[in-house]
Amino acid sequence: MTNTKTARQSEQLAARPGRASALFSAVLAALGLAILPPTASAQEDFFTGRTIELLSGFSEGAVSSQVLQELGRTVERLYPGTRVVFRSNPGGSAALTETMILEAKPDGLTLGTVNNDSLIAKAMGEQSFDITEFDIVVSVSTASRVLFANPQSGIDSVDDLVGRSEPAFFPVRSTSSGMYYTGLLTNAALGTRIKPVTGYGSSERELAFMNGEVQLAFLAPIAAARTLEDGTSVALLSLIDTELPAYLGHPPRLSGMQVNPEFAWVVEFFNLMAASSTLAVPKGVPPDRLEALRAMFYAAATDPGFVEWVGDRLLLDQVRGADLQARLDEMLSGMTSFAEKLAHAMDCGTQLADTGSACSN
Amino acid sequence: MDWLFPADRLLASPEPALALLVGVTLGIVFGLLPGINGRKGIILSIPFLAALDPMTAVVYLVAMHAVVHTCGTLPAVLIGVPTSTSEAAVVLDGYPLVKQGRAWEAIAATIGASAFGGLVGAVALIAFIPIGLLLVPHVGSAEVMALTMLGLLAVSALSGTSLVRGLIVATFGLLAATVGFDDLTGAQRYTFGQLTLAPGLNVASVLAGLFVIPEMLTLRNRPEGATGPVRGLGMMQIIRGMAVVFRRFGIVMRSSIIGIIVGFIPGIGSSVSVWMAYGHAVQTEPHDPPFGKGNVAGVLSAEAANNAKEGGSFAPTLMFAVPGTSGMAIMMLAFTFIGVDVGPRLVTQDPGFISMVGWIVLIANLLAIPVCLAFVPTFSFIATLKQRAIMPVALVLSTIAAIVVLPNPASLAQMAVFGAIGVAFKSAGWPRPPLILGFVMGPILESTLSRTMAVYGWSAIERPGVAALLAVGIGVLALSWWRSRRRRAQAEVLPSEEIVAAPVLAAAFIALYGWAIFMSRGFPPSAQMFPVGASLLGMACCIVVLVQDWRRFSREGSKWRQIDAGVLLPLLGLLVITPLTGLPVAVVVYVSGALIWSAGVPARVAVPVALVTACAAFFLAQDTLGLIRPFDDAWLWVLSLSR
Repeated sequence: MTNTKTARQSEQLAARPGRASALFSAVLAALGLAILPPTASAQEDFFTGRTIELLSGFSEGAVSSQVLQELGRTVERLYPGTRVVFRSNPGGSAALTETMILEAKPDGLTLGTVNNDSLIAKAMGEQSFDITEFDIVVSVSTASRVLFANPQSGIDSVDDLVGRSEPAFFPVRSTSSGMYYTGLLTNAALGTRIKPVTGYGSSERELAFMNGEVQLAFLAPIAAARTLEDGTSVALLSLIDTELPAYLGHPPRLSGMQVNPEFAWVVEFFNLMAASSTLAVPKGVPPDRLEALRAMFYAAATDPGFVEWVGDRLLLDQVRGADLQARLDEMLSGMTSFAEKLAHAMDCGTQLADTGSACSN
Repeated sequence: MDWLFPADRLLASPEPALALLVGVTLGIVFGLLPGINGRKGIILSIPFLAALDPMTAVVYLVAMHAVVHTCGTLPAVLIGVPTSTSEAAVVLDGYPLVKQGRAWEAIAATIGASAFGGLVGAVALIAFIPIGLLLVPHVGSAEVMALTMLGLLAVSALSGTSLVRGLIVATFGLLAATVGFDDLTGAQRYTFGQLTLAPGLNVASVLAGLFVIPEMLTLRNRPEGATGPVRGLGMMQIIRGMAVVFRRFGIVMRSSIIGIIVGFIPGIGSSVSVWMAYGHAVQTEPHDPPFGKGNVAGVLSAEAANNAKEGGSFAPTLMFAVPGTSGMAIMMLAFTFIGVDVGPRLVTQDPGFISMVGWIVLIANLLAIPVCLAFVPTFSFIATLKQRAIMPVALVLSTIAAIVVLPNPASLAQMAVFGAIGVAFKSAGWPRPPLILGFVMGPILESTLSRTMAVYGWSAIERPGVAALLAVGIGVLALSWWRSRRRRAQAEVLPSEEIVAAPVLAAAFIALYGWAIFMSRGFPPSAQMFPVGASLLGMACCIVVLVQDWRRFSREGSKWRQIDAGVLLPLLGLLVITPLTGLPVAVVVYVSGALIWSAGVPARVAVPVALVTACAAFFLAQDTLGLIRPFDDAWLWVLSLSR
């Protein structure tokens, strides 16, 4: 017994130098890791055990809100330990949510929807903040931006919108919404007589379109597919170049039409502004943490389960935050002249809507 | 006509029947829990729907949503705490019944009218399929605007003793609704740069402040006999009591029809039908006792409309894919999630689906009756409690409802402000319901008015629906005028607790409206019109009241209801402590203190009740960030005061 114990003790003594060196190496490695800059995976670890607040500027029942909720659940599934709490804050055409994002701490734990249209509102001097005050995380979808007409209105093509004696009513939420500007800029580009009417939410818009109160509308993909099949809508024009699903028909594209040369820039502008369900954080989030957040949400947005869940609810068009940010920065590099161009185009569009007469240069 | 009786869909397998039972039970439970309603119930259910086959999922969703209101108002009625604008109408007459020791009557009327309204709504949904396509397309912005105006006018005219006072309160509600971001222009109105005001005033805070706090603070003024304990309720007593639905069949049926018609119209809001039905009851039913003092017709009308509208609101959702209410918007999404494509095609190609939904609503409402009755022992226990013992718990529940919506000290501040306003209104005999209706319907009225003027202009008056609604509005005005003349001719003496309306309040409101007009000069022109218009109307009405009451004020002076300091001080303590300690700790301190000090409840009972209430607060609020711990920066603010 004594010999066994002695042998065991001898073994333990012999093992000590090995353990000691292993321990020393571990300490060195730990010090090294502490010194080295954190990697992206380390920053993803930052979100483990933490709660990310996801703010939506859409109403709780809106398709976009539901899609974003599912996006949050997908992040939770892909990154166990990270919790995503969804909160809907509709108000002022999503301006409330944007305000809340700006007021949040730049720690990467609060992100929400930003309205590309706030860029326009800023340029028009109607809002105190703009999209350049955010860092974009991801863009999930594209607004379909297909202009539909009610057949009862007698409008079968874009030509029927030019030179009209009465304006064609186009329902929008507010004067700071993207649809409002889209209608007026389309007037400037094509000489149409589209008159945006404010105060319509998405369900009111569809009912007003159906009962003929308004002649034109942007319809959600599901409503668009249904009305096209029923013959209760006509797809007049696609304002963007994104490839549309077959159920939305094959309307002519704005880029293929004869556009007023002075407002030719509107075509590219519409394509850029169509990015929808754009999530952003306030400026100031540490760069590597921002990159980790971008990677997480892009992974969720492109996850096959998420894509399958979305189906036809929205036109999915996932864009990495860094890419969208770069395109916006490029477009805004000449902000002052851009604001002037925009203001002039809006004035011309408004004049066409109200009087039917084009701007004089 | 096979679509009328889609038995093959409902009876093909046992799963739909089971889903019906589960949906009804969960729907009733969701309706009873404060802060959770049909809409939240659907949202909570969505993740589980994928595991069900589409038919079973539809049955479950429809059954759950159809019965949320069946006895969901009962807790509000028994403790006098409305947590929604629809409940406020039922509480107006239901709670006085409880205070008079007639809780069995309130419960029976609520369950009976609710079930009846739900059944009628279901039958209407099935019967209206052939004409649905003809009806809804003729309802546009102008008709919705006219109906909203009519609802406001009816409630203003009929919920109090004076149309003018009702209009003052309603216009104040319209003005309060403009606080926050303007949906039409994106401009901020009356926010003073405060983010907490940007989403607008917290409706739960407004409700709690307006209806709960005044009742609490004026408990001392009610004789103990009126708030004495109520004997336990018997099941048979309540079942027999439900026969009141057939004894007052006329008002119940008419209110159900109002609920169905208003529910059919998308975008009008769910509480409008309830208040319009209540106003109709005031207009047509005997005032013995007066409305607001325990007239069972008030309970019957509000409850019947509240549940009937659910059947009505399914119609535009299913037939046009246009959700009538926010709950239907979520329902539609859930339908899409499970692969059901709603819209006009459903009427022409698959009317049996709509009929099936109607049958589910009908059967669910029938099943809901025994499930509701199973809760009678719980209701009986609540009804036997003294008011002073209930109020602290009631206030906590209201506070939870308020700050779940906006977990910020601003919610508590808004509750306090509207509590003060509610006390002032109650003391002066001004009606409070028009404020709630103005607050809820203000955004609808503003947007429909804007749309109507842009699309139709003044020619909107020539539309048949608008002309008809305007004619009804003129009838309401005439009735109100006739009633006030009759009151003066009979030299009606106000009951002793109706304090003389002090012109001080009218003068204060003139100043308030003037300030609102002055502040609006910084808004964009299109964002100014509504608040300025409401303020000018309110100001004009205030001047009328000032002139009317000046003579009486000169003779009798101003009288105000005494506030119970024993209730006020702990209440203020709750509002101050919550941001500093978080809700659960504040609840324990407040409830135990109020029960022991104000209600004389022994500590061995008060403390466990306080702990249970705190657990409930924790459970209901745990998903809301910042609610169960001290509010952000609260202690920093306190410390900054000491520097």
